This record gives sequence, C-alpha cells and structure tokens, in this order.
Amino acid sequence: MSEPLIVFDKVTKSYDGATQVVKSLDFAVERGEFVTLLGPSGSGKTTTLMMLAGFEDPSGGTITFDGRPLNNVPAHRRGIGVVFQNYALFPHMSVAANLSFPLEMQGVGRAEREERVRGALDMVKLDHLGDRRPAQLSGGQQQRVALARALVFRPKLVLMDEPLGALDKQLREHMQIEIKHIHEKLGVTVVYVTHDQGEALTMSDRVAVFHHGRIQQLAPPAEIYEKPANAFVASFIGENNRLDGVVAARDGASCLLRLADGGEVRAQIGEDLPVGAQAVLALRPEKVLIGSEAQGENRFEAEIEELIYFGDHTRLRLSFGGSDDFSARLTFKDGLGPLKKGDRIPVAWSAANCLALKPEES
Amino acid sequence: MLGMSRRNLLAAALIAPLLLLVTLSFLLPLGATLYRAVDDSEFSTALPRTASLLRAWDGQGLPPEEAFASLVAELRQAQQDQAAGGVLARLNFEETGLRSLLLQASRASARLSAPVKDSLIALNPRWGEPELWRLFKRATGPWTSLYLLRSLDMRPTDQGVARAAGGDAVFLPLFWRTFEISLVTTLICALLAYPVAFTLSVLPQGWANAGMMLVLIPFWTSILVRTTAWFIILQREGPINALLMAMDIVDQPMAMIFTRFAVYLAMVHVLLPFAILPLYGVMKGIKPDYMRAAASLGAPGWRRFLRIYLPLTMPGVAAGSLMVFMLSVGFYITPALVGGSGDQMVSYFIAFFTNTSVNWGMAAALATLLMVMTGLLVVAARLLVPGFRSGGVKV
Repeated sequence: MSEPLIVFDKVTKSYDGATQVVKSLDFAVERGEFVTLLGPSGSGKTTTLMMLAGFEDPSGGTITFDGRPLNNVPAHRRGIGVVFQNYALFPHMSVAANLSFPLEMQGVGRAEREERVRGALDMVKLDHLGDRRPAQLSGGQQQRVALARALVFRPKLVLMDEPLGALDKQLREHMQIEIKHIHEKLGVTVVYVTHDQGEALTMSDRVAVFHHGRIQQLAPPAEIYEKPANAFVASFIGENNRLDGVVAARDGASCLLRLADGGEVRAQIGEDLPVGAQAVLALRPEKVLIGSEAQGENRFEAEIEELIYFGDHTRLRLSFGGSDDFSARLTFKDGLGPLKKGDRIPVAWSAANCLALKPEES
Repeated sequence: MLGMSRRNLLAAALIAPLLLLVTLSFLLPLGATLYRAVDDSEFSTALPRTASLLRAWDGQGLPPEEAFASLVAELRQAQQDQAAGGVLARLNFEETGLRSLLLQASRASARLSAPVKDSLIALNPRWGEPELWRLFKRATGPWTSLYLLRSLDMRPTDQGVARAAGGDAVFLPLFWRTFEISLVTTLICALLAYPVAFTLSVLPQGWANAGMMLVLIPFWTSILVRTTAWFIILQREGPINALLMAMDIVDQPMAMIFTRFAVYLAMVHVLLPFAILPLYGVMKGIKPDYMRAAASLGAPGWRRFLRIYLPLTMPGVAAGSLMVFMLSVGFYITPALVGGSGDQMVSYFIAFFTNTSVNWGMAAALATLLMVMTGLLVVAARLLVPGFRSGGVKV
C-alpha cells in the first residue's frame, strides 16, 4: 500500500497558550479515503480541519500532506479544496466565475477553464445556472456550487466543514448520497467534519470521534457502532443503555458484572478492567430481546415504566438493574400481547452484544 | 378618507411630523431657491404699467412715447415710495451704469417736457438706443435666464447668449475648482480611510473600540473648532513653523495657512470619519470565510485582495466617497478660514451674494447649478464606477 496522504504527528493546538484545543493528534488518512471527524462542538474537530487547510497553525507537531510537511506552507499553496459551512461563494461573481476562480489562480487557459467549469457544473447538475449570482440560488444549489468549486481544480484532498448543516433534513440526506457518489467517482480523498453521527456513519470509510481535543476512536462506522472504544463513544454514537456495576470476575475476553441491584451480567471486556473496578455496561436497545425471543446468557425480568410509539417500532422504558431508564425496542416478533405500564416481561441479551467499559471521567 | 383604513391613517399620522419638517426645512427652501434663480419680477412689480407697455411693444426701433412717459412717471413714484431699489439693482446687475442712467432720468422727471421721448434722449443719448429698451423688455419677466447664464460666465442678448461682457471667466473656473478640491479631498479620504477601516475591522474588540473613539471624537467635535485649530497650527508663527525652525529644517517660516494645502489638510481632517464609518461597517460584515475560501482556491494575498476583498468592500468605498464628496462640494467655513483667495469654493460666492451684495438671484442660481452639477456627477459615478450602484453587491 502506498504511503498515506495525510499524517498527523503529535499535533497540538492552543489559542491562548494555556488550554489545548487539540491535544496530541496522531493519525493518518489513506489516499482516496473518506474520513469523518465527528464530535460535539468544541471537541477540536474543526480546529483540526482548519490546521489541515492552513487557516490555523499547529502549536506543536507536524502535519504531512502528500509526503511533504505542511508547516509554514500557506493555505494558497496547499492545493486543498475546502467546502465551507456557509459555502463562502463569492457574492460578486457569477456561479461560473466562482468555479473559474481557482483555475485562473492556477493559470489555466481560458478555453480549458470554460470546459472544466462546464464539466464541474454538469457533475453537480447545475449546468443551466452558470450565469446566476450565488444569492439567486437556493441553499441546496449553493451547496452544490461550493462542492463543484472545491473540486474543479482537481485537488488531491477536499475538506468539508459541516457542509450540509444549513440544509433541511430531506435535502441533507439527498446531498449525503450525492457527495458519496462524487467521492466514489472522482476517487478524491475527503476529510469531512460533522456533529451529525448519522451523517458520519452513512458516508464515511472511517470515522474519527473527537472529544476534549483527542481522537477517542478512529475506525470504520460499523466498528465505531458495535465496538465503541470507551464510554464516551458508546454514548455519543447511537443510543446505549448504560448500567453501573462492578467487575466481579474476568474470564478471557469476557467478564461478570455485578449491577447495582445485585443482578449479574456477562459482558465482553471493552476496556482493560481489573476485578473489583467500577464499570459501565453499554448495551444497545435493539440488542435487548424481549418476550418469547428473550434468550441468551443474560436473562432477567424487568418492569415496564412507559411505552412510546414511534411508528416503525415502539420503545419500552423499563426499570431494571438499578435504572428506570433502560430502553428496549418492541418489535412484532416477541409474541407478547397488549402491554401496559407495570407489566413484568422477560428481557435477555447475548454477552457478545454488550460491553463493559470504564466509567467516563467527568 | 376614501379607501384609507385606520391602519393607513395611523401610519400617515405617524410620519406626518417628519413630513412636515422635511417640507418646511428642505422642500420649501429648495423650491424657493430654484424659483429665485429664474424669477424676474422686480421690473414688473415696481413699474407695472411700463412693463405691460413694453410687453406689448414689438421690439422694433424704439417703443412708443407712452412707454417713455410711463417709465419716468412710475420710476419717480417708486422712488418716492422707496420701492425702486430692487429694479435698480436688477437692471444695474445686468448692465453696470443703468442705475445712474435711471436715477438721472428720475431726478430730471419734473423738468422733462413732452414729448418725453425726445427730452429723455436729449438728457442722455443712451435713451435712444433700441438695445436698452429691448433689455428693459426682457426684464419684464416673469422668468429670466440672466442669473443662470451669469453663473456660467455668459449673458443673455437680443440674439441669444453671449460670453459675459467685460470680464474674464469667473464662475466656470470656480465650479471647476470646487469640483477639483472636492474630488481630491474625496480621493485622499478614501485612500486614508481604507487602511484605517481595515485595521479597525480586524483588531480585537477592545482595541477596535479604542481606535473607533479616535475616529469618533473628532467626528463629534464641531467643524468650526477643528478648522480653527488648523488655523492656529498652520500660522506663520504657529507651532509647526516654530518646530521646523527650531529643528533647523527651514530657515524661514513656510507658507501653510491660506494655501490649497491647508484647505486639503483641514477638509480631509473634517471629512475623514465620513469615509471611515461606512467602510468599517462593510468590512466588519465580510466573513473571514470569503478570504479563506479564496486562499484555499489558490489565491495569494494580493490576488485575494484585488479579486475578493476590494470588490466586496467597494460599496463601503462608494458610500463613504459619496458622502465626503457631497459634503466637500458645499464646504464654506474651512476654505474661508484656512484657504487663500484662490481656494474659495462656490459656497463662498453664494454667501457673498446672499450677505454682501444681496443679489439673491445670483446666490440662488449658483446654488441651483451646484446642485445640478453635483447630481449629474453622482449619476455618472453610479453608472461608471463598479460597486457604486445603489443595489450594489449584497455582502
């Protein structure tokens, strides 16, 4: 395999010299990869992107891009396309002039420029709107122009900073697929910043979960979802039931967790936990089997606190294991009759589907 | 009123005070000025019968005896009523010497025997010149182009329009000078304001506020105070000359006061905030993402400035320049205090004609022409200068 396109080596960033927004980043992005930086606001993901684009300088460490270190390379010499959250289309230029701008900067001749601008507009299906001003376009159209502009000069890398944040849900989902297709077609490397986990999971080859200036986990979406590296990732990505307990016994890759109400649960060990340590049990609601399906190593009874109707499923809020906020999904294969608050039902899950993790440091 | 809802009535009532104020303080004086510039009622007010006789006259040869007699009689009467000043000033302005000609006739009126025509011509042969009577006929109004033409160094004649008699061009060079001083002032203000506004717009908030105070405090200070300060500083014996002499940079005081340099210095000082404030507002509104986008698209600093920043800030340059130019064109006190005789602008002469020579027709004509020319220049700038159009660029 060829060398990675981007390598972050012990990169730190501090604006005031005291608090580090980014603490020692070490990661690499392969050529052609779609990597998403995901995290709550203030987690350092946007700062990371800004350092890569050249709008911010790292306080320490080295970023290597395409084999050369980027320190002291100004943004305009990096050849990295950027799609901004608010598009940053030049309002005094037509759409075509916006697309032509990077080509002019590269010294591309007029005829080729026009050709490539047409091609880029075609790619985002806006070939008829080249003469318009950005303000005359809808949000979705502006988004596509911004995308086309970041790609038209054929950069090796495109950075996207919450590019779909300003669009409504339906358009956002449509654009997610469109961006994914463009990525596949052009083979360009994409680093994408979002705080929307759904977006991160559907679009990315790998997801880097940021929190407190560090990457908590960098892995393919399925692994992020199925095997969260710690309690933060477990709670940030998707939904998780979290039950406090103590490690009662360890056995290879699994352990026995004693919950607050005395129940014992067999779980996989997610993080290194000695016997006697405080731990959190992370269990996805959809992995909880109920009623006639309730089979597995861990089998209990729980009391229904609330039933919430969602259309495609009904959610049960159960009281179990010292928590009254234990969620399970009621599907239609459980063989249970009409349920009501206060009913006791059997619940079960497999040890392979739940993880024992270190409690989050607050 | 018909078709007017309560809401509309309320809205009309709310804007009524403003409308009244604008009407009384702006529209009426403006209309009066425009009217004065072309009004020609002195002759027909003071000498009504003569005026109607002259209007009836075909302008060939001399008017009938009746007109001669009526002129002398009405003039005598107007003098007795102390109502002849206006018409005498009006006629003497059109042709110097007419005042004494008319006063001579008025004084002699008792001794003139019939026919008055011959007696008058005997008194002064000028009364036999048809041109004089045609001038009177033109002066019967109600409108005249005299003041407007004079303001352009021309005069009306029987045949139409000619260059003003007996003098060099006065007012055209004055207009030219006024616009030259205004344009240079505007240019200097724009060039100085741009970097200042830019710096203010990128400074951290605390420093920006402090810097803004440095702009605003002079802005809040009276023009008179600021101009007087320059008047003192630039004196022959003033602090600047004293300093230069003490440092042996010059061996005798430099002439600074009463020069064009002093006018530019004081005007730029007074007007600079008008250029800075709108520019600052526009620059503050430009998101850093535009410049970042331009950088990511491969544009080095100077191209980012020329292709993105400058066009986006042009509406601010245009707004500031327009304001500075409009105010410059009407400047009066500053050139009057620190400028020499060759640095005075149109307003100086408007004040002169209003206060000193009490020729309100000329004052009004100069004001009207200044307004029209300024308006034309602004329209031309809007059409020719990018970013000047009112719609402009949405930032």
